[in-house]
Amino acid sequence: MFTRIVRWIDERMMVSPLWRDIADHPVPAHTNPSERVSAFVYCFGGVTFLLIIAQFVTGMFLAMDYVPDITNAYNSTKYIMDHVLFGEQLLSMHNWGSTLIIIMVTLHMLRIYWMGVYKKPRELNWLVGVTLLLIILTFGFTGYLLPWDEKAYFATQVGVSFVQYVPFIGTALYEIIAGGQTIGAATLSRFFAIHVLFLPALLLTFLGLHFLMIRRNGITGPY
Amino acid sequence: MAGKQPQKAGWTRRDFFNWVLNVTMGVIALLVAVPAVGEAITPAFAKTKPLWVRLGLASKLQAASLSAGQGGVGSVVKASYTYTALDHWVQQPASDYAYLRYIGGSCPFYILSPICTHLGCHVDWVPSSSQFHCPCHGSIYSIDGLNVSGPAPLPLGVFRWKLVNGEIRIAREDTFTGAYQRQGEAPKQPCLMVKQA
Repeated sequence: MFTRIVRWIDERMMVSPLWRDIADHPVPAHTNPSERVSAFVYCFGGVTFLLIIAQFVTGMFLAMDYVPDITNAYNSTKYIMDHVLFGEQLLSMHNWGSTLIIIMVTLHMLRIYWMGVYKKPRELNWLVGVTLLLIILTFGFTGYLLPWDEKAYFATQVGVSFVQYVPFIGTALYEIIAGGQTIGAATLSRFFAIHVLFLPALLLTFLGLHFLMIRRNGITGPY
Repeated sequence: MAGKQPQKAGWTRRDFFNWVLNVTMGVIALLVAVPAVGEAITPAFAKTKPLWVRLGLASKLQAASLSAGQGGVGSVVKASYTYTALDHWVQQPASDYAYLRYIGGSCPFYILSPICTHLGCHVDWVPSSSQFHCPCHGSIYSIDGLNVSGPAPLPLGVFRWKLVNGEIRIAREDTFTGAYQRQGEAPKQPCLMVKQA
């Protein structure tokens, strides 16, 4: 059945070789944990990617019942936790997933650093990776405000206040990020737009670049 | 997956690892999918409790109904009320009205929802003909709320009500009319007074 569907599509589109190129190719033995268990360090990036997919799915469904508005952000979050079927689990997955991503992405970066993977010819991919790290941290920072509870509010107050210490343009930067003189309605809708529209677009673009460059340069080692 | 050596027949080490990987990924996908689908299908399973709202003092509404009617028989009066509507997570003040009539007996008030069962317009009470007329598509209901003419498929909704300290409270329900919905053109007036425990 499945084979017949694939053959039907292949007769018209010939996608099988593309799929083989993208996903179904052997990895070197020294990076395969089923050959050598210690090779699990090569999986940190892939695990991060899986977690990102989970964040996309849980986030899309959470957005069904969330509104970025200062009177209802908290209420709708509470509604998800109290009244939506498995809502608390969904919210927790998104919450814990974000923490796990930051842990995995840090481990991934440490492996790259310690194995010297950033050296020529992979400097560009290192730069893309650092950009991805910044994007992911911004995801975490903007997402933290969205429940609009006290912790979220004051954490964002502190976080955004850091930029006031930038010489000359500090105040202007603060107002651009907060959307005004104080953390309020404009901050929330700004952070929401950044969290669900701008950052996912950036993340997908840079992930695409990241993976393309891995395919071009290949995997390092064995050492 | 192309190996260096030709594949051995049967259950190989590679098959085993592939199986473990697929099962693990499947479990993870399920763990994400179950709450995600739950979020999407929640509305189909949501049960709302009736919201009891204050309609007004029974003595005043009784007097109003009697003075609208003749010879000790009550007629229909419009009873406006305000309440706090809870729309999922949004709480906000709302207002509406009901058509109340004093009918005496053990269930002295007969309270109708003004929502037309055709497409949801508010019907008007026409005292000269003792009928409810819908301004949208001309549905006509009798004084008991039975659909006698026009496109309305069902009689008007009837509010369940109860007396609390001399005050009438009506139950706004999760139906199209916001009240108890009679399914046929049953001629009898359902008494929907809820006795206090």
